[in-house]
Amino acid sequence: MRNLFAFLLRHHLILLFIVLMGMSLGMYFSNNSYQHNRLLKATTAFRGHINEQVFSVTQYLHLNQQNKILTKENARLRTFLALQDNTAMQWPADSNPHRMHYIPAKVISNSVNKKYNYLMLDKGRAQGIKPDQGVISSQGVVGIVTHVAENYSSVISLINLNCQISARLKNTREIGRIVWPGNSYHSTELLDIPTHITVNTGDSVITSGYSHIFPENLLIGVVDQVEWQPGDHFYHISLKLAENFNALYHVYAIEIHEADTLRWLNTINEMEER
Amino acid sequence: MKNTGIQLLRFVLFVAAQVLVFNRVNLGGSINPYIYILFLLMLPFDSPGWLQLIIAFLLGLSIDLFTHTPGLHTSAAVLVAFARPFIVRMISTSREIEPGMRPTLFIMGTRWYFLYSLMLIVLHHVYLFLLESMTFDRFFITLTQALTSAAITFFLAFLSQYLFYYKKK
Repeated sequence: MRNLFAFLLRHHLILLFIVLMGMSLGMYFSNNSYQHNRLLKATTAFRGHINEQVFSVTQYLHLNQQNKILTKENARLRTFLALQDNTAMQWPADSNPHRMHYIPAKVISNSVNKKYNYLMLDKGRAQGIKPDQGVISSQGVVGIVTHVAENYSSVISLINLNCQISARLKNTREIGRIVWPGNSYHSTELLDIPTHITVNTGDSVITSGYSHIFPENLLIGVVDQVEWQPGDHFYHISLKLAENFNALYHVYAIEIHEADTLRWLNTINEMEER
Repeated sequence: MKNTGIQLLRFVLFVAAQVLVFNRVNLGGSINPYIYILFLLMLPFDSPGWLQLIIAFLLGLSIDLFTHTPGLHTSAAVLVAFARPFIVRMISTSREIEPGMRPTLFIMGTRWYFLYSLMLIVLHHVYLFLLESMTFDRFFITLTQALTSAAITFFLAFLSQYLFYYKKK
């Protein structure tokens, strides 16, 4: 016993190092563990508060750019509204027009230069934001809500190695998934498109609506480069993202009513298929 | 006791500077200086090893909470705290190490501080960037990003020495 204590005392530094290193690597690699989530969830409100303080100072720096983006969006919506008035009959109305609504929010912190990029929004549970809601801006898809506090929420960005969303080519309606390769915040990749489909550069890639996180037909990006090695069954498609992730200010969280029920139905279907 | 207070304040300032300023610096997409590590570099030589490791753990964890990556910066900071005594022993110096002495540029000399901060900063950044990308796929791109970021941190280390410790020569 005395030998054991002597051993521990002599090597306490290296032992402590191993313990702390093990703890941190364990935390890092168990990406979705309970502790990991508890830690992030418990600190969301605190981080949100700090980020908002900084935001209240720095927001004025980007007012010009923000206004430009909002004016553009207004113009687009007005055009759309005018079209809708004239050709009301030709626009197939959603079978249930109240199926979803948008919650406006401001981005109070954001990053684009990491492998795991996250945003923070200045709205939270009190304003109706829930985990797994989609977040979009006027230009395209932004990300998915992960943690929610009373007045803040954090959002996993589309440019995050852990983020995958379902997407389709607009022309051929072929389904694939979007996975960020981690190199640049201007581009991402579309996987799982079989090589017998024709894909051209400049084709739009939109959300599929299958995940019940995003509604259908939201722009994600346009095809930039199509590569394909002989013998491969799937293309290697790189996209130019529609969203400029380095200039995100006003975004909307999308509440799809009964999304939980739809997801639950999907799981049941999958279980029955097995 | 007074010293503990100052160190605590410095700890908070380094975390704040990293999270509020340097994490928002965006140079060419993926270059990001991690200056919080300078806090560990500036701890006194004779502070107990176990305390240094625990401080490093808490420092890394505080940064991690703001970048949403629990464990990433924590392990990098712990590695630096562990490696520091070995690096100090490696670099020869004619100076006697007195109690409470801290490794600053003007006490230890330019050559010593250059080697000391360069080795630890490069170790930290390369380890961090490789662990972050978790693949050897784009090894050279990751390595370039790590070394460029390290160069900026290294420059800031020297700059901070001139800004805050110059008169102590």
